[in-house]
Amino acid sequence: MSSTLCCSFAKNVTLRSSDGQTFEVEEAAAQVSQTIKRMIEDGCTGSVIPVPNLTGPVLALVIEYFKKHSPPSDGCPTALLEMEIKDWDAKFVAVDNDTLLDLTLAAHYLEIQGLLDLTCHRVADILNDNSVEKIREIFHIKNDFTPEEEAEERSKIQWAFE
Amino acid sequence: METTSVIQKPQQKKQKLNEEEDIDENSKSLGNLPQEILRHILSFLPTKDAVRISLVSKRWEYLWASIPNLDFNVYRISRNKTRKRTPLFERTLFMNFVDRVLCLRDSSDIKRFTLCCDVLHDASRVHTWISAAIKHNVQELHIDLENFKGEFSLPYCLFTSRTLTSLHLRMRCILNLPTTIWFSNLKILTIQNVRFSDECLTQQFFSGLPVVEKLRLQYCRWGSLKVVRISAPNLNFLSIQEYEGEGCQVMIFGVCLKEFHYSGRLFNEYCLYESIKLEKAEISICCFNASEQKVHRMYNLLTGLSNVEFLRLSSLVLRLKLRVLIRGAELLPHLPMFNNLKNLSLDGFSVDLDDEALLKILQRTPCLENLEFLSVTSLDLDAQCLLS
Repeated sequence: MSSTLCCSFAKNVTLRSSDGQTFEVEEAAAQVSQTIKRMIEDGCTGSVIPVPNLTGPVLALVIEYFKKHSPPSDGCPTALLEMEIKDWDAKFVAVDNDTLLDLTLAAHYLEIQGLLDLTCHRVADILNDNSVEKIREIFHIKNDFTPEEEAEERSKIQWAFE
Repeated sequence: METTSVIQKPQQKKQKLNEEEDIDENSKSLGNLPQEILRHILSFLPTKDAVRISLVSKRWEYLWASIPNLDFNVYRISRNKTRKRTPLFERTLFMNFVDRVLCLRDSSDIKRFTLCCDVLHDASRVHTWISAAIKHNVQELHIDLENFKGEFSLPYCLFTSRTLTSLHLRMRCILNLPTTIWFSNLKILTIQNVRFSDECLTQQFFSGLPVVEKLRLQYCRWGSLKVVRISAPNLNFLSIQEYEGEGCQVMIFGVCLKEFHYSGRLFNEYCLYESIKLEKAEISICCFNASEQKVHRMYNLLTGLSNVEFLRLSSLVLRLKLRVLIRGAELLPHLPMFNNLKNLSLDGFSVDLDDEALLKILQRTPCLENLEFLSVTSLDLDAQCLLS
């Protein structure tokens, strides 16, 4: 791979979702994902990078995250910028639960630690605010304990319900 | 930053939406996320909730067995921010809970371990818990124990931990120490309410802190100890608060010390040695009157601060005359030279124009740039003009 070839592409890469939608994004921004960063380093810059685990709408959201979190071209981020990003992050994950889970999985597949922490923290907040019964309902989780098993387990960790 | 998104195949989008609806029912559920992610989610929850949530489904049952941070706090905080007394029934549940969580813990390391509870007659149980944390290579340990009914000892393996980087110890009891003490990785140490009892072992303790950078001694009691020598080559922040004592002489050797705080009644004698890098010192004295002994201690304290650039002297008793604290014709000449002092702040004192002590201090501070009086109750206007 010659370096002149890389430069002539104006540092953009194309990402393709599982359903065939393509998105063009700055290479520096896409490298917020460790997975994509490795692919670029391995020489996939010229062609389209497949992202088979993400559907178009989810990939579009992830790219929004890339854009907000790409390293600033002029040195260190300021405190003000950091605060702005924090606010933006909070709004970014204030989505319905299905989208939240999609984003969590996307962050996991694409190795975006910042986004993974953000989504997991958000899920944790929801779990923290709700009873076990409500959590099952919100996140479509099937209760596979028998009532007897559940009562027994509950008695062993009773303090957690005080 | 410009990004263009091109949706190439709109007809496929519709197809995809149908697929997604199917997924919704089959697999898009929090319960189906990889265990790795579920564990990461639990790591953001307090231990109590991480364990509570294990009842959601069988797949979640023991996920908490590897959460990196464990916090066990039996106390509830009342409106006036004091701890509520824990009913015995609730305490029993708490004890069983901690037993279970530590007993079923997998082999993964514990990053942070917090334990706040009444010990009562369960000294050996509490001892076992702390041991378990040490065995799991704990890095940050926060121990806050109350209501001892009998003797209590921390596990001796704590004192040679290689992984511990931060230790906060609050317990109103005697600190029983082993003969071997070496905290090879400890950077931050806070000790609160502890009573030291054996001079030789206490000496060992304060010599076994090779990399400690921040040390806080809050309301510790030196008991019958006569001399304590604290030598920590990497110490850069030291804070001492005390409200009782019997005249123990505490010698502090910190060649890297940059910041020093003392707040108390001068019941013990503190003196810094070799503190050539000291930049900032804050001394708050709480005395209604100063005996000759206390004045001596004040001098010793100030002598160790001769390299500071910023010094704040505060009186926690309002209207205390500065000259009451720094007095005595035989002592004033021995006030050290503060050759680097640029900022001097006097807080809460009553200062008069003819205050010999103040004038003496000013004579000893050739580089002073800022002199600040905070909550001074009687400062003569003329004096202010003179000093500025």
